[in-house]
Amino acid sequence: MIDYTAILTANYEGSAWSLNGDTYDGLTWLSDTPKPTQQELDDAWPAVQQARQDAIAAEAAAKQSAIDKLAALGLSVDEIRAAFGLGGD
Amino acid sequence: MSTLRFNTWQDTGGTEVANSTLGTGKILQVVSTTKTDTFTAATDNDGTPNAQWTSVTGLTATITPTSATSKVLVLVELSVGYLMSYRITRGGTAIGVGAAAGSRQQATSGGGKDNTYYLENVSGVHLDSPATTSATTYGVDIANNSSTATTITLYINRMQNDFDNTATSRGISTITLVEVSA
Repeated sequence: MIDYTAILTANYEGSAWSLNGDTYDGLTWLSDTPKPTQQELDDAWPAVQQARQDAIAAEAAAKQSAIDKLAALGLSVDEIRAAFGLGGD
Repeated sequence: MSTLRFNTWQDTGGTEVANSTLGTGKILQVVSTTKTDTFTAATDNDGTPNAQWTSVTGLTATITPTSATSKVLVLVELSVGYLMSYRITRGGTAIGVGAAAGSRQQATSGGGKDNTYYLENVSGVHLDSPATTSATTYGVDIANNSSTATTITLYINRMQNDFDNTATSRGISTITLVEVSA
């Protein structure tokens, strides 16, 4: 299922709109700019989806890097979790 | 969406009891709408008080009071996926909001959190005096709490991250109207 909200948030910053439900039919365009077509949004989905997955992967990598660096300083997993909330998920 | 309505009462023998004989403080009818699909909106806090409110589509309820003196107890439950303020509306006009104070938004209340995997229940209650026996529609508006003039996406009944896996959730939002004799 295409997440139109994610596409609009990523690619149409500054535009005002509302989306009722998950489909393009529920999109109400509130800005003066032209309303994007469903085809335009559908075409943008793969890149937006990839960017979101990359962002999640980068966040996970940064978290693991922080854990590794703290562990190298001698902190235990429990101490890292208690102090920083890392490593618990 | 579901709607529950009843506007007549019967005693245990099946005889209808007139609303006028029920006295004050009695529940005369209940109308409720539950929104189970999602609603998202990008609104811009441009610094103008009360300018950027968006009505939540599908979250309205209409009641026809049996008496002009009746009170209407408005109960709102929202599943909120991001920081936002909300306000109750009657006929499109805000009711049950905080007093005007400069540029501050006049809201019923607000809630949510800046977290991509988050869904919070935000609730509100307002006792209204519509002073009418005409059909009256209540609804909910939402607005962003950003302090900057940027567009913020608001999420109802879904998290900011809405991946199709068990780490995400979808919720419901409800508006319930209770006519109370007065």
